[in-house]
Amino acid sequence: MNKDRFEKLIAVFKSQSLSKDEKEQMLKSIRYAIAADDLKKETSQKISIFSRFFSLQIVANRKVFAALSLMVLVLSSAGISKAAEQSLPGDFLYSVKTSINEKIKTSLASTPQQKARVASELTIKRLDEAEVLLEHGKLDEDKKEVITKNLEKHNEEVKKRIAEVGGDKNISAATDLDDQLDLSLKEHLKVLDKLAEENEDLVQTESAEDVKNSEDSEKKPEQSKRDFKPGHSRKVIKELQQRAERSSHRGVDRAEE
Amino acid sequence: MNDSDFEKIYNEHADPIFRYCFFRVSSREVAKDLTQEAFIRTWRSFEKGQQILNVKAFLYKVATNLVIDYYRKHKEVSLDLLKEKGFDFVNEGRQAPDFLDLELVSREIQKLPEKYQQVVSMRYIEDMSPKDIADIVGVSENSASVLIHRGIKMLKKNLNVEDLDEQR
Repeated sequence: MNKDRFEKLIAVFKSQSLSKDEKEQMLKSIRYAIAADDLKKETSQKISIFSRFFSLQIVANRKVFAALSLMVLVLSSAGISKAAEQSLPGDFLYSVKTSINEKIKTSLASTPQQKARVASELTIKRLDEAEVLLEHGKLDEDKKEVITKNLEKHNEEVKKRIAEVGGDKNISAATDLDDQLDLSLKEHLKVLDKLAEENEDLVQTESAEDVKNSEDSEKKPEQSKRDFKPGHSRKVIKELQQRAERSSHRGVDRAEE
Repeated sequence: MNDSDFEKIYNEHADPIFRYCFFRVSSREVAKDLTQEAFIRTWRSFEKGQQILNVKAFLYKVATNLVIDYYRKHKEVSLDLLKEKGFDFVNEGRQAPDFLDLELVSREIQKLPEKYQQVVSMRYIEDMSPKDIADIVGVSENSASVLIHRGIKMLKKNLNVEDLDEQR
């Protein structure tokens, strides 16, 4: 290699820089990461204050201690629960968000129509989370799996509840619920495409495994039902994509009319 | 340090730190991650009240540690893998053979001992003075000059660069 060539190649390295968008995006991600850290710190401080309180009071009057502990626990739980709302897959408060906060929300919905609405909201919430993670380049396989698992669960719930609403002869309410979800999904086509696209790696390995699993599932049908199947989840993503696209086409059709 | 001070520091140093990481890891995506992390860690150090007299030097030190950690954690990283992950130079108007040569240069850079990789990238990519490099690396200006000279010589030798200046 001659010297000029070498200098030219070094110049290529020198010319590398972040695009304006990349730079802005990175600054956003940095700010987000710092804010998330602050939140985590704040929450763990609350937990540590509570544990210190707990250890000091263990020797004190038991009734007073029990009452005060309960009060602190309730107050701390409210704070944690509020903090958990901002959490994302991978954060330590995320399970509080999905297993406690959202379960309470779901259980507060009394009619099938309300239940369908809550499940639809949770579907969109999961996609919002995926978008934030994607934006910050943190949508890795583990987080994707958590999100798709939850999407699968919410999607089943939506379908079940909409069917119940329709079954009660309230066809127009069922169609409205269906349409509303389609419309909301339309805004998340990009992240759905990303989830689908990244899932393709899994599909390759799955197809070979599917053959094997189908033989196994004949032997152990109960177990195969319980296990999480990435391929199945991919179907969920595809289903949601189709819903979103259906809504887009509907929009175009309406515009043409 | 407030948010706007941090933004100023970010705007001033984001590109050089990114280039430094990119020169060291040859993957745009990995370099972006490392750059981002370098700024997050710098902010945390400010928050903890650490006195940082030379932000630029501090950022390079953090970035260097991140690059070292990256290779430690990804011992199996090969250029083939990096290519899959995004060995992506901005390639406007560049011909295919350029990429082969760029890969070759990347490979040879990564083969250099760590101490040379650092100084060669600072000298070659950011045109830093030996004094600035000495501040960042934490050696005397003289030692920095020696490291730069040896590093560049080794890189050129490995790439069979005909260096007319040196032959004279």
